[in-house]
Amino acid sequence: MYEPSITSVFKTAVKATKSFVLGPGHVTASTPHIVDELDTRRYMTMVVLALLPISLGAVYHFGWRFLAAVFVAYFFGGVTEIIFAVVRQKEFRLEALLITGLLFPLILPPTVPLWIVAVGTVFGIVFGKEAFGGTGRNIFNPAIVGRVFVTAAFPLFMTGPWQVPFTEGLGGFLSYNRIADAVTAATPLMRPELYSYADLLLGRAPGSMGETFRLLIILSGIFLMVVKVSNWRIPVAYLGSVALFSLAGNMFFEQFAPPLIQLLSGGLLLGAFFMATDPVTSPFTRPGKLIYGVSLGLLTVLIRGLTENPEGVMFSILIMNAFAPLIDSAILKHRFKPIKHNGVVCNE
Amino acid sequence: MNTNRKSFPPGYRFRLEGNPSADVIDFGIPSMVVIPLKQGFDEEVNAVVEPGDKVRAGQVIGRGDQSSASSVHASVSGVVESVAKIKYAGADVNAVVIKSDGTATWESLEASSNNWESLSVSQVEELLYASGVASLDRYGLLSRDSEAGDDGRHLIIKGVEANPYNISLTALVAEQGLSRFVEGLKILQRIMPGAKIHLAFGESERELIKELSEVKGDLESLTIYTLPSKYPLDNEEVLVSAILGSNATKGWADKVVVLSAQTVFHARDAVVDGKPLIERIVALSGPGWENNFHLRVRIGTPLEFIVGEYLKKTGRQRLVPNNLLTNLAFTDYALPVDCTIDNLNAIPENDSPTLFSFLHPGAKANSNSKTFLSALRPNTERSCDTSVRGESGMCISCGYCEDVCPAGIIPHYLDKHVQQNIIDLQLIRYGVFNCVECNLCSFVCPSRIHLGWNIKEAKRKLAEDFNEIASDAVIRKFSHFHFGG
Repeated sequence: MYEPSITSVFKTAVKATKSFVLGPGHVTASTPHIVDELDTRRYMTMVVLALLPISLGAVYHFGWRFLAAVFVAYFFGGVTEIIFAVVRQKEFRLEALLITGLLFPLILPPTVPLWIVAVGTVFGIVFGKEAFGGTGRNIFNPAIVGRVFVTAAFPLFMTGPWQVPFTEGLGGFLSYNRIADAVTAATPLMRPELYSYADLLLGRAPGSMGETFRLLIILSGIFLMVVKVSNWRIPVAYLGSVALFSLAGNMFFEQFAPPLIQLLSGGLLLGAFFMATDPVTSPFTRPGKLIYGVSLGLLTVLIRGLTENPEGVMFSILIMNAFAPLIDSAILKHRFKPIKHNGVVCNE
Repeated sequence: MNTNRKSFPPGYRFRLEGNPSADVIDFGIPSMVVIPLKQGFDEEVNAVVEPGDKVRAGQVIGRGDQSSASSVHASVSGVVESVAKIKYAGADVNAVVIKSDGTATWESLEASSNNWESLSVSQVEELLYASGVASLDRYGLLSRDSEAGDDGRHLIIKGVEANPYNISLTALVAEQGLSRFVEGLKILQRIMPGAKIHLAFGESERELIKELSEVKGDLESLTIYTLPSKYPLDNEEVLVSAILGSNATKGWADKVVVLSAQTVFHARDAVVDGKPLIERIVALSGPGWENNFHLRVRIGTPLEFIVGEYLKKTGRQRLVPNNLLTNLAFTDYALPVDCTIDNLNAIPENDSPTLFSFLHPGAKANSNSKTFLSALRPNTERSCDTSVRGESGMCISCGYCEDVCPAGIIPHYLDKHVQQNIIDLQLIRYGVFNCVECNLCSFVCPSRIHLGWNIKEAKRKLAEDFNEIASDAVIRKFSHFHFGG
């Protein structure tokens, strides 16, 4: 009988690191004799690369404490993944954790206690990913599952007060955090009139650690689309439909903010470029991606305008994650018609 | 004459290091040859020689009794050493081993004529059969349905360079002359009167197309197509639908003959010079060879002769015929060069782990993705070896396989069904029989999933379980093809 032990935990970790750093080091078994040099490690590393400038921005605006949060997420996420790998006797692959462990702190408020980072990461990985069988089988984006859980479980820590970012000189590069001289303010979603578009683009407005430096998010998001790691359809449909629905809503009801404010506030850009595009949890058919993006936009505008939540991105993505398989199946049924054999439809 | 430009949105453009130069070098007369008594798709024929017999190059050494299989010829003059079974093309096949006397002359076929236009159609056909040329390529030269009539038939000549490595059309024409190529086309037109001839060339063949339009004479039904050098356009099924469109191709096997450019030259040589099928030009491609060029080689020359002379001595190399994505590697170098080989690809075996390979800039990386520097340098030759470069894992639905699939299906979706062992009529609905088995999905998969193998296996099982429905689906598969043009 197999007994998980400390040694096997250690071995799993070493093996994962080795295979991540060195690669497999063997040859193709048969056809095709040559393979594309892109593998999942590089694919996911591209996402991490695109998130790096945004992370640097988070350090600048909110201090080194952001890196402490990333470390906590990687550590507890890593331990969780290794335990699942050992118990299931499967290989532990590092690359998906590298994204989740970076993305999760980026969508947390700057004042978040580090123990909440740990709890959220573990919850997100267990219930957002491993419960479904691991990367590739998960229905929900693990970072969002973690975020929604900690928001529901610890609302006091998660909904304010919102720190005003460092914006002068070397900013957060010289400080661990801003608690000591805490200056707090309303987020742009609560009081849009307080901030200029430049504030919103350059990260001078409060918000979660990685969602405020929007200029960088746009550039990084475009980078990912250009290298074809993320598909352009979802962000374009998502942002376009937010613009369209908020324009329509704003014409008749004042609780819907105008399009440009909507686009440049909250976690919309980070969500549209980095979370809604997760290929595993979004539809794989091309028309499906468009439908998915448009639905995300509608939901986001509705939640932001009609509920007591100022932000609606993560709920929208969580809800649409659940619908992704349904959208695909409808598209496939439309695209591939049943085959008739001797006049009888045989695979309806 | 019409020239027609066709686009091909899916697929992948291979640009690998080690493409053969246009030089054609004569390998000379080997000291011995091994000639399997089975050619291409034909059935095995019976030996008509015995050990100790003296034979001349071009002499018939194998002949079918009742079957319509082409005769097999000695490719060198000399003495028959043995007639014995060898493992060849996945079966035990009798092969004739001839010890050569080193002379280069050959015996010509009777009834051949410089003035071939005076020959009757059946005489021309007879020459093509007798020379062995009729059994070339996937379905042969004369796979015609006699009841189908002559009109509405098509002859497609493959000159498109769409495989990872290709025999160079420029090299073939430069070596043998454009006028011989045109003569070959006229001979083929003679045996398929009324058939439309389509030449499928690569985009880069502008010079050749210009020259061709000057010398083509009275071949009025000739249309030239320029196609992008994108894999798998070399695949018969893909090529046929790219050129004729999806509507014209229902039940295409009866109406369409697809031949390689080299076969046109062979047909010409058989009818005009009476030359039986005794030699062939093969391309030595890939970085595993010392140099890359074309080799004129007698059929039956053991691979080890060529390997010994030209393969790199350092490191291990993998030798694969024709297509690196679909053909099995050679394990036995005692096997001969046969009439199915256009390309001998040698690529280095690379099992060395690479530190942080996922962070390499990849100036020469061979990838369909845009994540390497090579994406910015479209004309750079990409490196080519057998390293897998990544662990296999679960599908992340990145969609690369769908992007490149020439059949317009969604390989990863089919593959997920197969991996869960759900192999039922749903798969037929989702187009499993559209698959042309080009293996490009397996090539691009970043999770290293063998989608190609799995889909092929599903097709095999479905064909067993739902025979009638499956064959129906196969016939109608082309209605799913999408081509721009």
